[in-house]
Amino acid sequence: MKIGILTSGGDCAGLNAVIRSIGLYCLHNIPGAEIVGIPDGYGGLIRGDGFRMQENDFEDILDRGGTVLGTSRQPFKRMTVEENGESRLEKMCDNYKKMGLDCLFTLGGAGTHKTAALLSFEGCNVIGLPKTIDNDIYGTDVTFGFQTAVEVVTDSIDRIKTTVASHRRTMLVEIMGNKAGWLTLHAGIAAGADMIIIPEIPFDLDAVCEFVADGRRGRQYNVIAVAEGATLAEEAAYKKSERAFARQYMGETTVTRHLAEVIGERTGTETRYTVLGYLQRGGTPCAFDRLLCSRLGGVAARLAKEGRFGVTAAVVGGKITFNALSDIAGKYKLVDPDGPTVRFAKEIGIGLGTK
Amino acid sequence: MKYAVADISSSSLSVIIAEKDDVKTEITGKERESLSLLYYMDGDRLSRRGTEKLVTSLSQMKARLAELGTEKCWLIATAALRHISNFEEVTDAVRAATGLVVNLIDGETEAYCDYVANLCYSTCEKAVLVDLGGKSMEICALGGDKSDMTCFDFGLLDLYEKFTGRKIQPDEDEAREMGRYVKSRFDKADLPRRDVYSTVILVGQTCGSIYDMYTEFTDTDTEEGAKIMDRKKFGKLVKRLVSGADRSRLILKTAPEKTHVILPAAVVIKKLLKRFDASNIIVSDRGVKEGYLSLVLDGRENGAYYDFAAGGAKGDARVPVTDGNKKADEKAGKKRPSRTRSASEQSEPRRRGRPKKTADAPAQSEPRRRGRPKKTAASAETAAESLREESGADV
Repeated sequence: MKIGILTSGGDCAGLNAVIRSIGLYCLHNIPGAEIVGIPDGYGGLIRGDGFRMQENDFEDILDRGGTVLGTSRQPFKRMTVEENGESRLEKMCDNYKKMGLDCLFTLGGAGTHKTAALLSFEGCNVIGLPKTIDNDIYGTDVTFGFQTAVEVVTDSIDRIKTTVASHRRTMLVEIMGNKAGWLTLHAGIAAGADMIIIPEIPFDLDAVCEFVADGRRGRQYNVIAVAEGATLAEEAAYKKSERAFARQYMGETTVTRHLAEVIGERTGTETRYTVLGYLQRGGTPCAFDRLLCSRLGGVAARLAKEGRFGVTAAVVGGKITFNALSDIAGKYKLVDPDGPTVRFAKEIGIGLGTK
Repeated sequence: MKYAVADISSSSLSVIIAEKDDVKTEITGKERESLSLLYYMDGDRLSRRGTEKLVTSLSQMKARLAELGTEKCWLIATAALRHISNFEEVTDAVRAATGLVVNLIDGETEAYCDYVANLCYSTCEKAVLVDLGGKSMEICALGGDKSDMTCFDFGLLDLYEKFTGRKIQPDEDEAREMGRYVKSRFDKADLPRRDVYSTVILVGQTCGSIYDMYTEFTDTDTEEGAKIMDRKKFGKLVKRLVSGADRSRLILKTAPEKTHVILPAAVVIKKLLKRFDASNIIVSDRGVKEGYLSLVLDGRENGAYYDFAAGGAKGDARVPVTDGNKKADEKAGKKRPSRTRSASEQSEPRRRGRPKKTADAPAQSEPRRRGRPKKTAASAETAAESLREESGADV
């Protein structure tokens, strides 16, 4: 059985742990298994690149951040557009055949899963694995990389808090998450943020300023966790492209800087903002993610051995299982504004940017 | 009174909610969740994961119905579930976990439900209903004395399995072969040709998905008005689905759970339109659920339902006529009502008109339980227990 592995989209902690788990399971449990590493995500498959991976390639990568295979972003929208008489999807299907692959593991987020579904529809035996620090893949309780990112962000906010407390400032911490606010919500609660602003709950500028001015938590400083996809209540009805245009006009890509300025002007408190950026993706996976990645990789490889394709590994109720790609592709798992985590946050006095 | 009918198909779990007063019954809500059961099969058995997915979806649906104040809910399933070999194990697990009892609907009852639900279209000129299912297809004339039903014992999944090679979507040659086969089955069933029907009413979720794809493809506004397709534009859509570079993207965007059946459905519809030379294509948003609800509320159909006030199921599950239970009934001296003939029964003359019940069917004070033996509570508990025990393991 010739098995391809690729990692696609933004990197995160745990990719190598999954690669290792798949590789070791296949080499130990599937007679005659040959593992082919495909470099640079779907980009490598489009070009038809691949290299054979031996058992020693999987040594010492369990705790390594990033991906040993390399990755790239290949927009889903471009996959079926014909370029020189052939689409990227067609090229990938052709190369899948030319490389003699019997199965392809695609490690990636929501976009990667959509492309994986296309490949599956066109006859490639695909098994997905849910990778993203955003935790927004539909049908799985948790994605790998998320927990490590929560720990990194929590630790960062902890450090920022000491500075903020010393200077009695209000600090906005911008956290990754364009559509989903899971990372901001979890890390915000874990780090004791005073206010959490996420895309699923458009915020009201007056409510935010009032919250800061009131010093509702009885402290002279405030830490506000802001997801990069946070939107003003007035912007909520805009299309994504319209919002992007408006932001571009203001010379911004996110709302954080503007929000910091307004809070400073209206409340008179010294307000700063910081963008954690790529810090959140990198580094070694935490123990939780190492275990999760190893289990996910093992189960995904077992699915290949059983000949079950067109699926993606998932965590449901603490159990590792699978979902059909067609059931989850194109869907997102977003924070429920009325869900238990948000409700709990409200109950302990954390502001959500609403009145 | 608020009622619901939920339907398990091969690709989704869908539900309609209706409110009934003294004057009328009005559909007030519809929900649908994709559930690609095909990906959860182990051969001809629904896997443990598939059963889990079904149970989870049903539990969530039941909770939403309870929130909405629903009083009774009938759960029905058509050919897709009827064809799995561990059907009883699955329905026992569903009953144990949710209290819902599955009522099986056979092809001819499905066609009749479609007929009842779509009588509003009987004013259309020479109208025929077409319901394309995964494992069966029903074609039924509407109105006048041309009323007729033909049930085909093959469906879209069968076409997919028979004609599609390595790819999930058939290529041009495979689609052509599929078309030839469909035509030969229509010929064999002596399906009417031109001038008999001029309006084709497409019924069912797959046809609904075809329409979604059509609107996406033609950039048609879906906000208001009847769902009508232009035959020429539909032909272009079929061409795109057979050979277009972006066909998979189109399917993923509009009907990912229908990936195995969407092209076979397009091929069948195209063949039917050509055969009937029909120029009007309407996609109905009423189908088996609406028809079944109408029939059970009128007392013309039976089946078990979940009583939300009582917190449990009432009545006997509906079980369709099969060769096995037919023989058992014949042994016991019982006769069964017949609605229409199957397309495979070629030697018998075609019956026209609304299917009638046989006059000598035994009168019953309660709905008669047919087919499979009734499950005891103990066996349902055993099934639930086994699901609970197994759920500790990965996959």
